Amino acid sequence: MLSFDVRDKDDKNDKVNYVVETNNLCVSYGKNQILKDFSCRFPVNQIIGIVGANGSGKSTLVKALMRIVPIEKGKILIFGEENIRKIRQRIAYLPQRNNVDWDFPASVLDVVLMGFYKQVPWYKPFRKKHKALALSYLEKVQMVDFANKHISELSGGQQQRVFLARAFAQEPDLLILDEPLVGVDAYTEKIIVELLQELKKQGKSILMIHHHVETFKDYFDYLLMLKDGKKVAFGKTEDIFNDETLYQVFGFRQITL
Amino acid sequence: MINFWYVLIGASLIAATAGIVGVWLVLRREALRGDVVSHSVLAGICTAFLAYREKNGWILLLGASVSAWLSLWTMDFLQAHTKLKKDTIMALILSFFFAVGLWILVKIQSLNNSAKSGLDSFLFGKTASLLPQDIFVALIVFFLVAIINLFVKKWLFWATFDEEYSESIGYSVKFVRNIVTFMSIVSIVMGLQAVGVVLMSALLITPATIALVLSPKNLSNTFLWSICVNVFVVLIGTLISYFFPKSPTGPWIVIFCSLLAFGVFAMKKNR
Amino acid sequence: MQDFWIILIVSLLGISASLLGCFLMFRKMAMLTDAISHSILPGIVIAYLLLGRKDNVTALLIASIFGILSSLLVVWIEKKLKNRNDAATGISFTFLFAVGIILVTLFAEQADLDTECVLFGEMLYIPFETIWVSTNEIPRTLPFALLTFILVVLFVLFAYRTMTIISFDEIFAISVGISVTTWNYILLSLVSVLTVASFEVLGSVLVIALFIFPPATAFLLTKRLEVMFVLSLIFSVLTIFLGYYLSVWQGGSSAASIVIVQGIIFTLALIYNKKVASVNS
Repeated sequence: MLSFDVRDKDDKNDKVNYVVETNNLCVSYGKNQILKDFSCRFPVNQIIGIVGANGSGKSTLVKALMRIVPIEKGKILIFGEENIRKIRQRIAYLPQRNNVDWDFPASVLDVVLMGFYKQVPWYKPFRKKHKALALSYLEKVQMVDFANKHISELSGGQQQRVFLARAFAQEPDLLILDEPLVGVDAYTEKIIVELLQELKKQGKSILMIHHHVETFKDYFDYLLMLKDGKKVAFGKTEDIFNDETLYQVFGFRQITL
Repeated sequence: MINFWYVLIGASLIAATAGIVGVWLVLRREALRGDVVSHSVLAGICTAFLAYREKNGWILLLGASVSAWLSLWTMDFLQAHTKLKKDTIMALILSFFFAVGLWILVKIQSLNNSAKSGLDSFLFGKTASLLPQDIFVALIVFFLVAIINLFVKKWLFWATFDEEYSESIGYSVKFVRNIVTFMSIVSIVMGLQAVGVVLMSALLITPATIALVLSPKNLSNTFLWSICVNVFVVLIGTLISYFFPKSPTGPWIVIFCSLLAFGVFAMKKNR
Repeated sequence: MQDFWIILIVSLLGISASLLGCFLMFRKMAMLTDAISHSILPGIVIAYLLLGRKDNVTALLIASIFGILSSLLVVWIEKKLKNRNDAATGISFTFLFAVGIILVTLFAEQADLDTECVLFGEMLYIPFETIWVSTNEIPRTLPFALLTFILVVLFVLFAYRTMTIISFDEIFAISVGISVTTWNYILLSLVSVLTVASFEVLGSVLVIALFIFPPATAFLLTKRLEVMFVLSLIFSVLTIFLGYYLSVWQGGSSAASIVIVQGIIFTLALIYNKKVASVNS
């Protein structure tokens, strides 16, 4: 079972309506300004899609939230907190898979155990209970049979499921995923989407960068549509996702299914 | 002072050769590879000496070429057949071949052979040890490299900057790599005599970077600058080392060249 | 007894190096050992000159200054030459090494160093330069080697999990709040300390082998990280032992003999690795 977060919560948390809030955010890569005066507020406990054409700033926004890229100007509040160090343990980030060293000697189980980094101090070895917990997460993503296999032996979709299990191991209140469904088989996609919806039922918030236009309506409660580092539209999917916004963001109108 | 002129001309030819090849190594980001190959030739030189028991320029250079080629082949082999990373492989090859060379060198020093003293000059360079017959070799090598470079410049350029495009217009990337490899080996083998094994990579890299700063857009000019800077620093470095007879020429050349580089860099604005 | 001291001290250094080497390998920092070992030469020579004798602690302090200088130099050059890290590194460490060689050749007697020592160390003198600790006579290089060993072992125990995560998925590491740059600095500082400690014993170039050969050999033989660390350790001591006795038997440089033995064992591991691969496919 996915464990529900039983850390002490203070009342302040109940009053926060927005899981993520950005005010006039500016982020640059070298000389290029990617995000310009970006402001938005994401409501808590929703599955929110971040969408836009290549180079629209989706990945940059998400990396800025995680402070993986530096912020030039503006503020970011996560769970109402500006200092990310105070709330990092409540966030799990699933990056795109480019930076991983696939030859590193790690089994599938080892990868999931990495998710316990914050919970288990360095001087304590992983006990049976951690291993059991990790296996239970692997079971959730239907990868438990692969626990002792080396990660390079897996297909793209299987690897993604393992990384998702690692994210679950972090027991986050906010899960941020960067294009998790790219290069993934249909079965994996189905499992991941179902698990995200289960997370939502448990009160968690999900931000997901996604590019497959046909599935926006099915997967996301809310949608943030970006173009050239600016917000084109944000709101409930049913309200804002239409041919007009689609055209503005991607340059084509959808042939309605 | 006939010897002086020989040294001058020989050193200049060696420097010019290194100047041409160095530009490609820097552009192709193969500076460290050059360092590995440079260290590796020690094994070949010492083996050749052990086999022939005399300091014959041709034999030693042949030995150097063989071990240079062997080190490159081993690097490619390990990369293709193991999951070891590039930098790990380079470190392994560099230290192993150098160790083999050093081991044989120590062995040679324990022999009673007057010719062995010439070997030390291969470690850190001794431009003054250049003989007239060496000049002849240096001349041939320089012309070989210069002519090859002239003909294949365009190929090398495309293969370096856009591999896919290069393949699509029929220039084999693999063939190009082999050309650069060949040019590197001969220029390293020649350059050893001036700066030695340990500092050879500096002679390839530093002048070329100066040239790239002075001429970032026009490749032909870059080569000219690289040749000029290289000849300049080798000659001045050799001159300086005459005032310090206890020191080999290599380090002085490298120090002078590096200081020149720092000066040129300092005058350039940040990119 | 002399053999014992030599093997002990070189093994302490070797084990430390192979443990750090495992991390270096995965962090793609193998060639940095080359750069560091070259860059610190001027520092060591100056230290020996200032004190008129060989003192590892002062050497470490001054060598560290040169290590930092080297890094600053690389950063500065990189600002001028966009995106040419390899050339920047090469220029920096060859320059410093050349400076070091000149210092050595000019001040050989005062610093009690010569170019041979720089290149392949003088392992065999270990038992003959001694200091007194209470009533015991021990080699001068022992305390520093021991201290370095303890430091490295502590670091490996402390940093194992963190370095694993950084090596496997750096972005994930940053996302859970690991300061990758800090850990890089700590790792490289330890490499510098170990290089200074090993310098006298192995020389500048062969110390690279001490860091990289055992882990690389172990990597070919196992897919489990814990096993890799243990194998590295074993290979390190084994090759030191065999290499040393090879040099006793055959003559020649002890340091070079050790590296040659490491190469042979590596080749054996490679053959085994290929055999296993062909059996499985």
